[in-house]
Amino acid sequence: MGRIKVKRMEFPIPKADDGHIAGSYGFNAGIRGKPVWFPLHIDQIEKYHLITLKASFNYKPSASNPNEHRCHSRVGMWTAVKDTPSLLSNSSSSDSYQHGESSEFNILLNQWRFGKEAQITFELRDSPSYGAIQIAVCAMPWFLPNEETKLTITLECVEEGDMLPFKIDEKIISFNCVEGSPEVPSNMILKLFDEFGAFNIDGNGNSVHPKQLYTSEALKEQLMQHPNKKVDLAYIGTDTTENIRTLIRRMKDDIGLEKIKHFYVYYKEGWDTELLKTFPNLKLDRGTTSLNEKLKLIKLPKDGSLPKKIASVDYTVSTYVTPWATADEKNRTQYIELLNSLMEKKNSKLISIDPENSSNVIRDYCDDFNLHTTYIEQLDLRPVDEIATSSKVIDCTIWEKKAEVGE
Amino acid sequence: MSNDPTDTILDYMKSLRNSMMFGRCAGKTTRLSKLHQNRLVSEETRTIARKELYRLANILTSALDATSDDEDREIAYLDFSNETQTFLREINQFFTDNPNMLTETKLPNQDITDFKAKSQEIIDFIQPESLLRFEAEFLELVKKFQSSKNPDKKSREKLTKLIRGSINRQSEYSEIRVLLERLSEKKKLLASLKNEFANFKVPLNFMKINEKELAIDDLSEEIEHYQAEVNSRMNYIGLTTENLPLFQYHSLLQENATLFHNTEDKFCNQATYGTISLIDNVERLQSENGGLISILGDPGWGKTIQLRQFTHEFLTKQIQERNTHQIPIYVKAKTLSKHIRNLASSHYGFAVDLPGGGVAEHKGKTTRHVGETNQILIRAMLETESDLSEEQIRNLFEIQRSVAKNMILIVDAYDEVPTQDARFEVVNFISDQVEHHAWPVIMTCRNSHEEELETVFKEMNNGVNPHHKYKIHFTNEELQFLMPTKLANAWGMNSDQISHTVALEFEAFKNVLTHPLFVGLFCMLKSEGAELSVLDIELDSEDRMSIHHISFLKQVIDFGLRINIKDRKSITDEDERTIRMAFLYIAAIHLTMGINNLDNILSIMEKLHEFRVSETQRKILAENLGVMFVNGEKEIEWTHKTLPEVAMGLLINENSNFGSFLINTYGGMFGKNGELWTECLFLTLIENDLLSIDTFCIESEGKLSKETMPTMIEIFSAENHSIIEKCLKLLGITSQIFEDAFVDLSGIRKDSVISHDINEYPSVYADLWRIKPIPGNKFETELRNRIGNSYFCEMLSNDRTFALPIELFGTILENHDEQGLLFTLFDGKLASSSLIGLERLKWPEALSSDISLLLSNFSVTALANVYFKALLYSHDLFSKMGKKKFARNLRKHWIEWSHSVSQNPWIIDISISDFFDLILICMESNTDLDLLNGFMWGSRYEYDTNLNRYDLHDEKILNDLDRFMIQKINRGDFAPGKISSSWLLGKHRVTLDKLLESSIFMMVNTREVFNKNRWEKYILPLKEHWGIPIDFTMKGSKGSKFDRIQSLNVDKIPDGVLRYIVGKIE
Repeated sequence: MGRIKVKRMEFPIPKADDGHIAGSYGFNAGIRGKPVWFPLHIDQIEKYHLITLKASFNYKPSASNPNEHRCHSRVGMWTAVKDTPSLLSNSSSSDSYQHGESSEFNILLNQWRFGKEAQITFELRDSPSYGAIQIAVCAMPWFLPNEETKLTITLECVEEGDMLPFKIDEKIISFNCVEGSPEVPSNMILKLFDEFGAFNIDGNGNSVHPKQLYTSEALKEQLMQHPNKKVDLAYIGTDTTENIRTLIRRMKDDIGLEKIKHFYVYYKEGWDTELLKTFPNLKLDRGTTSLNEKLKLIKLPKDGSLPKKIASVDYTVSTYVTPWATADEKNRTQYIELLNSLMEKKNSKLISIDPENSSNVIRDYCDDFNLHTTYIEQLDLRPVDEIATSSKVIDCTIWEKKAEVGE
Repeated sequence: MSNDPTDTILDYMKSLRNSMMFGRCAGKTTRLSKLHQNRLVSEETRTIARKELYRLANILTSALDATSDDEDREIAYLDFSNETQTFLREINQFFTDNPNMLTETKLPNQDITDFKAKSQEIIDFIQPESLLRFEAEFLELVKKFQSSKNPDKKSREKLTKLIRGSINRQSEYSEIRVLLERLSEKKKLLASLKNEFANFKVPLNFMKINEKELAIDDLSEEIEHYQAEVNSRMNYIGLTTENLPLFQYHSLLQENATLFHNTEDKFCNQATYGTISLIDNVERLQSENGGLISILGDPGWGKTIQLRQFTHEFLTKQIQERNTHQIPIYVKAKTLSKHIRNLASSHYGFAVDLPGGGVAEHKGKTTRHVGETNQILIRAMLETESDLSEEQIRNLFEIQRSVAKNMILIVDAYDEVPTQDARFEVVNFISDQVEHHAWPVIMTCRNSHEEELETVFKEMNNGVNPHHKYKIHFTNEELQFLMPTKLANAWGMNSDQISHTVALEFEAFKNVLTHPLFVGLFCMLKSEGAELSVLDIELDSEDRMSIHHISFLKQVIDFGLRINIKDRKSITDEDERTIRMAFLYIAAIHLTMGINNLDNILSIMEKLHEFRVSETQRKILAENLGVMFVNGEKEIEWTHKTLPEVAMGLLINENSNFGSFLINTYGGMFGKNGELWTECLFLTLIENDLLSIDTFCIESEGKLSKETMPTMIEIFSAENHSIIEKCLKLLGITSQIFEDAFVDLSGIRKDSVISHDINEYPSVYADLWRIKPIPGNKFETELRNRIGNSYFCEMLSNDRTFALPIELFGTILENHDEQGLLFTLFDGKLASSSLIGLERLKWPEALSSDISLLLSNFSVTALANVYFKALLYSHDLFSKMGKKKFARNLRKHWIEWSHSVSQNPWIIDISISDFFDLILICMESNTDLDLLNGFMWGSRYEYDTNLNRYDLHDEKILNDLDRFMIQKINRGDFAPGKISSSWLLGKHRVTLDKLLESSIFMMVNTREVFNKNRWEKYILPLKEHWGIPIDFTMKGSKGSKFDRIQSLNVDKIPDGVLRYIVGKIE
């Protein structure tokens, strides 16, 4: 009998700094809590060949109860996934990725969902398996004043020889909004990611979020289509480096490093400060990445200006940059100008990866979750392809400059 | 560039897919695939699904066939599959969510009420808890029956009740008896078998075995099995009686898998809405011989977005599967039409039967060969989607063989094609392609053009190919919750705040948030931080109107126009202002004159209002403005019916000349006789007055102001009484609103008073009037106060004021002192013009003796009207004696009036049936009769002067009039003695004629009859007596006029009446 194991069933959650829903008389009718991380594992799974873990906030507004703001609560599940092609499953569907910690399970990428209802599905490559699956859950609950919010976690499994799933375990986690309760420190999250192998830059590394897998798949697909033998690549890095590490791993394995002439990484100042504080040996440079002279790390000045020399490239990869690019006008301008410079080359393309919808944004919270309007209206780009259309988690669109009149 | 045709097609499809990815929604860049996708529905699909549902329900509710020997029937209902249980839950939910579903559609051979009742029972019945409880209870009872030969009465009743409760059949008792008999038979058989077995009476005649021992063993086994079978049968009978629906349903699942080809969700959607899958339908058409699918909806329902979403989704699927056998071609109908006209070289012509009758001679152009067709399509495609590359499209058409047979033509906005001939050409083109290449064609069309499209396609296509019509459908819940969330996501915005705001405010705006376009605009306004009115007052609105509604539509007009105009870079701010003002004029002219044609409206705007627009501005007005649509024939359509009303209100508020124009032309702001009055228009006009009250209430801390309501004064001063009453009713003001009211009219002359601080009334002393409103909430109290302020300020300033219903003053007017308000108004000669419904009031008795004061307020005829209306509606102006005195005094003044050269004719504004009543009432008193006859005679009161021509004064008619009317009148003490028609003829001939006229008029125009008692007492018996059928009318649509004349009984009907009818029948 499969089991969900969680250490705590109740969490006090501090109130988020912003994003609350205003009610009458200046009180908040809907209170956004800060995201909370907690580990979870599933064991006793030897009987099953398909395992689905679901986490959901079962709240729905209705005409008679339009104030049910808990429906905005979000949850996501993170786990280690092998991203290198040599470890991809040969037996399963094309979106099946091997789990990062055990060769016994694969993850179905298109079944990996975030939002009000999160889901993660594992296929067992060889059952029976006597292992356990480690998962990190990040939940951002919303609260009604003085009411708790509940997260229902269910485990549904399909037994060997059967075709339909059965619910075999369920846990209810309660969240209460308590002012001043502690937040999960960011270095703990980094440690968690490190445990998942997210910061490795060789074949042993793992992805922890679908965006990393889609980013590298999209880049691979584009490079394969490109007529030139060598291409220049730019990456705009604003996260805690796990995304670029996936890219580097994939480049070294199956994307084809030989096709990349230059790999420019534009990073915002302080992007790895927290990481290096926790793990001083994880600095990204030519040597550690083995990309040598191909890799050019370029810092984006804090004052919003552009680096002195920006080489235009064939592809620019921009993954989950919206929170940074829309944080203030300075960032926005810097981002727009940076893209303008990077895309000066004819047929230069932008690969944008963003959440599919706002409920997929769990860790960051901002007003906009993509920059499509900016690309169309301010950068005069047009979409030329969309990748991973079946994904419910991310949106991957390929853009290029609109052709000049008469061109 | 690859030479592989597959790559060419895929490249093209990718380009088209990319151009379908984004669009504009409420003025913002929008990822179309992320928008809510409205469902497409067809009545046919719904009917089929409902029949299926009916079948299912019928099986669920059908009686057990007691004689059935279907032994394979499943009985273990607890083993139901997940699928069955899910479906039953869905059915349960379906009926719960759609309580009216069964009454909406007539199901074959089914008593709807019975069906509904049974369905409800099933809903209760299939609850798992009910099943378990029921099972336990029932099994216990069945056991009792098994163990006891004579089950007690209580158990029997309980079993019966249980069965009745679950199935509700009339023949329950008899069936139970049958079942128990069968139970008894089985027991006997069992006993017999046991006996046979015990006595080794083998071989049994139904067994073909030779060896005895083996036979015994087998028999033992057989009996064991039979025993089990009997037990099972017992349970089966019991359980089936109770639970038949589930068992049969279970069998149904096994027998008829087609019901579950679709998921339960899909089935419920089909049965509820008639939902169809466009992709499935297109694929089906392609596998057959092509055909037309039209997507229908009203303006603002998202037809174009639906089409682009479909094209995008379809292409994504094709690209993923590398399928090149279905190639969509996307064009705008208007563009397609233009290129057919320019490039097609063959001419044709024929007569087309139009919907609703009539034939149109249609001449058009069509293509001579496929080359022309291709050119038309290529140009239309390039013009429709400017991002497509010409080279790519030409490459596509060069691989002709694979393209021509695989195309799916997608055409947007049939109704926007400029002329009827051009639209017919488009249909002809489509029909040709469907016939020659078996293309599926999908086309969007407004509901307004549905009939035309259907008729013309049928005629052009000779019914060779099918035409499926699907309507766009969405629910309120989708409008309220799903659309805002998805729209925010399609804009790339966090949906939390927008979805919250819309969900919360939906109730206040639900009257207007009726379609996706307005929901989109609402979200846009909210995302831009637009402030909509916060004034939330309770209105007594029949149309569920609110100030929010007005406020939103005002913003929609401004934002909607701005965002649509803004897209055009060459437009200046001045242009924008002019277009907005022209838009307001268009709305106002459309409403006041009922004109729909944009060109005509613009001409009138120029001529009557001297407001012109440039060619560019005219062109923009004719394009999609988001709030008003202009179709191919320049007919305007509105995205909401109240939009032009708000626009007209804005025009009146912003342009005083237009308000004056309305008053001068129609006598009021609401058109002739107030026929343009709507709640929405009035609220738009009055909104500023109301907002000013609201602002005051927030700041005033409960004090009352001396301020007025300027717009209300302007409206009420120009409008008739019924409009004033309607306006007040909307504001919830129908009864007494003043506890006390005082006005000092002694210094009413304007030059004698000194200014105070109210801007509108610089010459009015603030202490010349005093209002004490009946307290309500803050807003209500101040509103009442301001109505009073406006009333008295206007009175003091202008020596006249608008009229208010007497009910608003209530008990105040019961004070007949000289200082009281009523006397003050009479004394100030203002009573008649400032009070509505004086005839409903008790007047100071002193006024009955000396009516000179009254005559300074009223003309003689107006006073007579008050008197007659009081008579008609049974109000007592005075005591009995006072009434007599008053009537006599009035008669004296009538004589003077009737001898006056410059007299105004007497007119009373009551219906003809009320006039009939008035005559009968006046005939109860000689004074009243004399007075009425006098006024009618003196003013040569308008009656049918041709009446004499028909010789209605013949003996039969007069005798019948006496018998059926005049002799029935109770004259009581006022006029002793009987009256007759011959007496009336000699003394009050005008009254007699009017009585005859109104009697005959009512007799042959039944719609005019309001007083049922009078109709039944006087008119109906006479009508029957004269052989006129009860339902006979002069203007009726029931039969031709000859049929109606033939229906008269000529032997009974008086000659004069017959001649009257024959002469006037229509």
